[in-house]
Amino acid sequence: MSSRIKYKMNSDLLLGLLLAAILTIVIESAVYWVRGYRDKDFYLVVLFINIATNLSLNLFGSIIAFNFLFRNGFDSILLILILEIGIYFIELIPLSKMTENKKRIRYSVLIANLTSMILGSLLLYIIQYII
Amino acid sequence: MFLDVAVWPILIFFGIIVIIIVAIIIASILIVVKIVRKHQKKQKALNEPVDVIEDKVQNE
Repeated sequence: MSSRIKYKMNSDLLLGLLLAAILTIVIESAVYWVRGYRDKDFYLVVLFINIATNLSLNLFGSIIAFNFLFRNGFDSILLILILEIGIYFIELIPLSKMTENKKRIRYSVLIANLTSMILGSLLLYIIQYII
Repeated sequence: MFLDVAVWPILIFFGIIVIIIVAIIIASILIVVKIVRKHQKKQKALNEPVDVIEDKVQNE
């Protein structure tokens, strides 16, 4: 393998991580905006909690999925889904403390995470295909 | 040798990247905790009855 190919692989991995995080933050913020959340502190929490959860998911998820346990595509998707469920609860803890209406925030976090997971994956695939 | 010499630079590169990402994750969690605590303090101060605030001012 030439050094140019190695460099491209490394830069692709980092670009993928960065793009995934940016897409998730933009999509989730848009969903919360539509659901009526307008507080600046709320969006700061959304921003930083998504940086933490998205980087963890992509970094540790990919390490576990592709190096140690799962080599089959279906198992990897299952692992990502399980991690996403964990992320839902992790995001819910700080965001529910930022608002009064607990029932509404539960639905909002669920909708935001589902939208970012589906739309984010599709957009990421399209962007990486174009690049 | 455990690994081919040519592999070490890539491993070191990925190691540094992983350390940076873990540092970003920890920093983000700490920032979230700080913002939530600040927000809760603000909410508590807003919900505090007026007579309690007056008592505090008088005591100071």
